[in-house]
Amino acid sequence: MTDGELIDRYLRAGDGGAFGELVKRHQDLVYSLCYRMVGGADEAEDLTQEIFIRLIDKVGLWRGEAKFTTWLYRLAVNHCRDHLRRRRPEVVDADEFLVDSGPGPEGQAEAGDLRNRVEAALMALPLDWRSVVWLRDIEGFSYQEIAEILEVELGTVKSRLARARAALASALEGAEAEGGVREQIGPLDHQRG
Amino acid sequence: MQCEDIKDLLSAYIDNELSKDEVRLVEAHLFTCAGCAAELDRLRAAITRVAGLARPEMSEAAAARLAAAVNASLAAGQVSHRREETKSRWRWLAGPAFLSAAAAVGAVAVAVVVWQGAAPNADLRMERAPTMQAVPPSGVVEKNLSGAPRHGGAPGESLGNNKSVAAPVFTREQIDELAQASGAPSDGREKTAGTFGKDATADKAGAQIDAAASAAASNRPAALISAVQGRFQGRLVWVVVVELSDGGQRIAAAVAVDDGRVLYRTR
Repeated sequence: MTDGELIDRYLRAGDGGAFGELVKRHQDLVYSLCYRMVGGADEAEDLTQEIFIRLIDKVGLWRGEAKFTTWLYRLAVNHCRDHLRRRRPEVVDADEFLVDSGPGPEGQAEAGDLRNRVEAALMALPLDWRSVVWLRDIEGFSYQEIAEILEVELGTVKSRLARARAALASALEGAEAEGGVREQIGPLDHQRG
Repeated sequence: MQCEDIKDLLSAYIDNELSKDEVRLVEAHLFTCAGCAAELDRLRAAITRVAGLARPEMSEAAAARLAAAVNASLAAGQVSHRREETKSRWRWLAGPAFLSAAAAVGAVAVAVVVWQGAAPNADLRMERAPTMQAVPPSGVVEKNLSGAPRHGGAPGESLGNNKSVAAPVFTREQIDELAQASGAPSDGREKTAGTFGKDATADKAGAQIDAAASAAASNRPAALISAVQGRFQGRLVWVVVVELSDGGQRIAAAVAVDDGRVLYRTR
């Protein structure tokens, strides 16, 4: 069944199972979106729950003009943004975002070390840059889809991507040159645009 | 074209988002400029590395919690429809609305006791409870039911609930009284996630409350503000209010007594 058909079954026939199926279909991507935006598993889980529970009421608002996924991710992005705005700004240790936590960079093996650095470099990007890199380079959305999800102009997507990728390349290069990632990562600023 | 201008276009060039003219310009420049060609390689390398990152995944437990929460909300929505029809005095209590209202009362901790049908649960000892009447929130209102951002609330400000029935709201003192009447601990008891349940009191109620508060806080450090037993969706539940130590956020949750499942949490 398409997303549209599942939604139809839920809205017209009150089929809760259809809604549950919709959740199962999209929960992974919504969760990873939340994780990439807020940087913590617990928070991401809470936000994912909130988003899908709100969807119960809001799903009737989807008119079919955009792809359901684009519309849903826009909902998720906005929900996460609101959450981050309300949260007190804090300095977060870059270690929180390392995929495999373990001994410091000096003691780590090559392959795992590289992935950790990349993860940390990505999560250290300002939110707006991180979002476009994640949506484009990891999830493969088109520029147009990214523009719709983030509710910005196409030109903005282009310029943000250019800057984000350049920053990422610098961070990765610097990290390799100095053999560690901590020097390159500043305080994570979730409030910064 | 200058290198600076070319470098600005490289990202879009990688994604085939340039016009034909722009592509020609870029490629002509790259043919003769080692610096820009190197920059292109740097960008491509960074993209390749980022593309290789694993997607953060929900644990199975987290996925199960999500499904439970969604199902509870779906069921609650259906229940509240039925209650609308019977015009029960307590219709606003049926479903997620009551805990949203609890969240809306911010600094005043609210634990709302819910019961279905005619007779309240005998364990609740509601006979000793003070008369329920609408009490204006005395502190900051976290958000109204539509999820608008936090704003400072003046005394007497309504909950923003557009239901016509005045929502019963408990003051802090009333909640403590209720909690004590039902055997639950009163506030001020700080617990970390690791000790939840471990230094519970010997009696069964204490252990159950620990489990309920822990489930509601999802293993984050929290202080238990209040806990009251009641009925929600036909099940015996603890209605707990916890305040997270890391963010100061208050969570109200209905947690099933028998298996500690979080049936509903504040939005």
